[in-house]
Amino acid sequence: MKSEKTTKKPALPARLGVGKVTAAERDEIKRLFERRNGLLELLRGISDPAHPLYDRLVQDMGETATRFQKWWDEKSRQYGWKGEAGGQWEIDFDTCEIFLKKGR
Amino acid sequence: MLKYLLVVLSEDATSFCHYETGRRSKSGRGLIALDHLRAAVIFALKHNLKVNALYPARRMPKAYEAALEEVEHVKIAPFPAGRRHPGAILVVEGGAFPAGAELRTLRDANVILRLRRADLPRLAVLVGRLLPRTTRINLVLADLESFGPEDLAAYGRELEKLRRRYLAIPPGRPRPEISVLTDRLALDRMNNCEAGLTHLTVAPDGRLYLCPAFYGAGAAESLGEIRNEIAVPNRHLLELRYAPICRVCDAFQCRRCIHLNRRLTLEVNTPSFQQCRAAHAEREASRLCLNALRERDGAAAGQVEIPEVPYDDPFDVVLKAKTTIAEFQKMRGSS
Amino acid sequence: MAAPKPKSDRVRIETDRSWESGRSKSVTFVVTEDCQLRCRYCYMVGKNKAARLGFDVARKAIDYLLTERELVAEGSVVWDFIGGEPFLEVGLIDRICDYFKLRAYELSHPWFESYRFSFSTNGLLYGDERVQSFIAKNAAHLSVQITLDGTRAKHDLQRVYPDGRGSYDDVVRNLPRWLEQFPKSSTKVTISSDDIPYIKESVLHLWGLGIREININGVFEDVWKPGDDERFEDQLVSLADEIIARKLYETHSCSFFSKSIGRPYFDNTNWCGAGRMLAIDHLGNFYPCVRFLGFSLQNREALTVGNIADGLDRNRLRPFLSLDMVTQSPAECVACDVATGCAWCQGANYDFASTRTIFQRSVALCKMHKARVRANNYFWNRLGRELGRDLRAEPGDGEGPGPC
Repeated sequence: MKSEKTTKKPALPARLGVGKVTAAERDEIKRLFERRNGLLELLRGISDPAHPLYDRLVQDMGETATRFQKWWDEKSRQYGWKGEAGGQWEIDFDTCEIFLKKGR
Repeated sequence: MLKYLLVVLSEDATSFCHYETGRRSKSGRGLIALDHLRAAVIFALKHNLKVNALYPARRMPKAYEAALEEVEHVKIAPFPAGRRHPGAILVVEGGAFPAGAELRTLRDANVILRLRRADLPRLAVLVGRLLPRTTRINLVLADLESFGPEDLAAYGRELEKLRRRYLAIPPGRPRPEISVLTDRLALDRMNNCEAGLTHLTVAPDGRLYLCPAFYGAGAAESLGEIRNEIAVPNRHLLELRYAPICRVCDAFQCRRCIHLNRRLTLEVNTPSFQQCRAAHAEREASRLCLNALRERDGAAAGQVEIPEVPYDDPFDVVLKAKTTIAEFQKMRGSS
Repeated sequence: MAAPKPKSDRVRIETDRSWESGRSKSVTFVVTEDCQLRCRYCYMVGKNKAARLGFDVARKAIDYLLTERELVAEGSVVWDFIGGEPFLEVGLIDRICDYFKLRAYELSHPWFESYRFSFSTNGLLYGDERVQSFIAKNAAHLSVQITLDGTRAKHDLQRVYPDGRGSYDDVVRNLPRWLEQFPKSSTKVTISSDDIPYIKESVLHLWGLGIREININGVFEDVWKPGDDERFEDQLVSLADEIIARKLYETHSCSFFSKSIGRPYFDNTNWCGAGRMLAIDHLGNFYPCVRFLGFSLQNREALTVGNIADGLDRNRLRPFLSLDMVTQSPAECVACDVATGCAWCQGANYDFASTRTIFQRSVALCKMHKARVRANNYFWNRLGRELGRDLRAEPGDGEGPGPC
């Protein structure tokens, strides 16, 4: 549920609300988030490349990661969210709010 | 309020409903003790109850007949015993349907036709054979609990054939009542079995049960011996208002058989999908029958309404929306 | 002069919303009927070592549930593992979870993108290497609740080994790791008659240990003695005073205090999910909930709603899915002015009913509920005065439309 954005800004509080998405947009990233976690954890049980599902799984993970990052890139552009070097955006799945978590 | 007392005269007394006889006894025959029968008659007299006596095919001892004559009663007997009991309601088994000559002994009869899955393809034909000889046919699907979706669909098709037969009776000729087709045309509220509410059963063991089917389920189902104060535990669950699916339903002709309920859903107040879909197939046949009669006879066809509905099981209605508290509190209380 | 506004406007006393609440299918595998403990208030009265779930039974159950989309249509699933003590069978659980993930992925089932594995454990095996390995493998999909019943005195009153020793120390040993791994965890506290004197102290103690969310329930058996309701109310009022004085409502939650309880009924919904959830035993029988298994019942025989061979019995599910509040409640309860929040358990109702039915609600908790309502009113009214707001008029968490 996180992405990166590099922009030079003055110091921000540790966690800053920067925007909100619609419920449908939230559902989209939530599904991708869950899928990404599911693929990662499935892969922990299938370590052998000879497994029939291994290749499909690896490819799926790549595609899901791409879609995941694409969502953050597109929404941040669309909504113009504040960002900062080293910071990360987070979403609250309950409220659909987007927060910028300050980088260390 | 109790109005009737069913008395099962023997282990092999005819069934008139969804249960099979002879489940409790090894021989499947045993008569009710005469003392118990007399106690049942006295109970009926004291509580203003009419008696429905369930007979076996064989002859009953004279003392039994004499005991029954003390109280207003109706005999329910298997078809083969019909000659012995003029005026009785006769139970005709679809699997042992009388031949033509035997049928001719019927005149203006009130019959109960018990059919099974295997009889379904002949439903309309068998009812058709009874029509000229009866004033009323009560149709019972004896093994409804074994029906699957295909059987229920077949039932619907047979009802459609029956509807056409019924409508084809020429004007001026007597139109017998057919429970699953015409009852709904005259009902504006539920007309159910009401076992445990308006009637109880005295079984061959001399004890009380909600209905003969509960006797078949075992001694644990007994309500005790015949006595003045009879407590039916959780009696309110037999009432319509405490049946979440039935109270939103308008298939008023349904029997709401609590025995079938208990067997299939484990709750006396919850019908199975078999009972609901069968009742709705009947409702649909009645609806189409009513439409046809209205086209032909206008207002004379009757005042009830049977609207078209998008479901064949009122359970689907309950899944989407529960009765509200206010609606529940407006419903009538017990019988 | 107006009262100064508090620095924090936060009132967090309500519990958080649970994951996919109301939208997920809850499936409980009863992996064992054995447990290291013999908790005195446990409703699982028939614990034994013989009944252990086999992988093959679980596999068939998963296969069935993944393919039966008519009767099992929810978009998410929570796989709940229960015992006895579930972590006694962590190896089996690991296999089951791996199998589910694999099958759901193979079938492109929607559940692959929306599932959780949930555990309610006595905590004794939490530090075990195999348990930790399982947790590391499935961390993003886990909900693990350790039952710590309160202070040592309270916990050891009920949660004992077969020889009568308390288990508090052995559980608490694992707490720091658990809270580090699951910082938003809650614990489940059970109250029986003998526990009442320890309630306030126990809630504060658990919060002090770092467990910020506490779900507390009274047992559903009729164990209450005359005067228990008054003692209970006193404990809750005293707790309320402490919470307000120390502003603990800003950061902690306790299910005793909820804005939504103590009002007349406004809808007819049956709040218990029995029948919507599913429990599966070692023989592959399906139950409406774990409380309907034989080892959970004192008076009635087990009530199944199908099995892995024949599938779900839709007729046996009908009573559960059509069950509502009015049909099972005495008229007095339907008309009660403080009805909301009064709890019942469908399994306990079935066990204690005068006939074999789920439609007779036990009212053993009536006085205890009313005592809770009075204490709850006290809390919200006092807190409202402190904050200068009518808190009872505001919706609680989980009430009203969602924020998105």
